[in-house]
Amino acid sequence: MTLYDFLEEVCRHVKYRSIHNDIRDELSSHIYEIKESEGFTTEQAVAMMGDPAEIGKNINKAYRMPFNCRYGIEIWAAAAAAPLCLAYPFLKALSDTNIGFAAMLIIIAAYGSLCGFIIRRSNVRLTLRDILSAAAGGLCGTLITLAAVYVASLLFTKGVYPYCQNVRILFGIKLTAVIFAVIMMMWSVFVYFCSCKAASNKRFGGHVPINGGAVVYDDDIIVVPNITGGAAWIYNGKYSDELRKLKNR
Amino acid sequence: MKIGKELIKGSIPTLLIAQLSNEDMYGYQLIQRLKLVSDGAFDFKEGTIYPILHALEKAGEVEAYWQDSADGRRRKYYKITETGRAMLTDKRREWETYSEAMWKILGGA
Repeated sequence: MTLYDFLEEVCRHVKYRSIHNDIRDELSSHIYEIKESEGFTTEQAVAMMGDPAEIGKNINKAYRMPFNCRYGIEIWAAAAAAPLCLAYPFLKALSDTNIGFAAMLIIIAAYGSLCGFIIRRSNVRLTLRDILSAAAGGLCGTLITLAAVYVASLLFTKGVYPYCQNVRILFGIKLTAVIFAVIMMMWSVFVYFCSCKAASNKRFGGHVPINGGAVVYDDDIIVVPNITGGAAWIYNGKYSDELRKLKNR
Repeated sequence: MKIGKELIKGSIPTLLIAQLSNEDMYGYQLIQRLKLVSDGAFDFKEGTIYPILHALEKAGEVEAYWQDSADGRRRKYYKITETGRAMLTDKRREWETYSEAMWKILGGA
C-alpha cells in the first residue's frame, strides 16, 4: 500500500473534512519518521501503522459529524434554515406588536442557542471550510424552502387560504439580492469542489491548486495550500514533472 | 513476554497520558518511548495511538500544538492538561486496586 492510499483510506472514514489535512500531516510525518530513523521502505512503514480503515473509523469517533455524514454540516445548515424561512412571516407579524418584539427576540435567541448546542455536540471547530459548508447548505435550504412555500402559496391562493397572510414578505426581496444569493451559493459550491473533491479525485485530473506556495512532504505526496485555508493534496503518480518543478521552487 | 492484545487495548490511553506527564511529545516519539520503557512488551500497530490521542484531545485530557521540525515537517505535539493529570491519578489508583486483587488470586494459585 502506498502512502497516498493509506492516507486516503484513513480519511475516507473520517467524516469531518476540516480535520483531514491535520491527520494527513500527522500520519505522514510518523511514516516518514519510521523510514528515516529505522531505515524501512514506505511500504513497510505503512504496514507498521496498521489497518487504515480501523484507524479512520476510530478517529471518526472523536470528530462526530451531524448525521455521521460527510455532508453533515450542509444537511444540518439546510435543515436549520428551513424553519427560519417558515417562521419569518410569523416573526415579522410578532415584531409589529409590543410584546411580540420581545417574543421574537426570545425565539431567535432560543433558536441560536439550539444551533450553537448542535455545533458543539458535533465537535465542529468552525474552520473557514465549515463556515462555507454551512453557508452553502443554508442557502440551499433557504432556496428549497422558499420554492416549496411559493408553490404552496400559489396553490393556496387558488381558493384555499394561504399559508400565512404575510407570506408575501418572503417574495418582497429584490431581484438583485436573489441574484447575489445565487452567485454566493455557486461560489461556495465551487470553492467546496476545488478544496476537497477535485484535489484528491483523479477524475478531475487530480490537480486544482488555486494558489501556489507548495510544500513538499514526501516523494509520494506534495501539498499545496489553497484559498480555503486548507490544502489540496496532489498525487505524484501522474504529475511527477510538476512535482519536480514545485520541489525546485 | 508479549502481552495479549485485549489486555493492552484498554490501557493504551493510560500509558500515553503517563508518558506525557513528564514532557510534551509527538506520536512517533511516544511510540518509541513506550517501546523503550516497556522493553518491547507493549507491541501494537503504531497507527492505533492516533485515534486514542485524538479522543484524549477531545476529552480535554491532552492539548495539542503544531511545531515545525528541523526538516520543515509539521509535528503535532501533545501536552497533558490538569484534567489529564487528574485522570492519571485516578487510573493509578484503579491499577493499584486491580493488580493487588489480581495478585491475591494469581499469587495464591
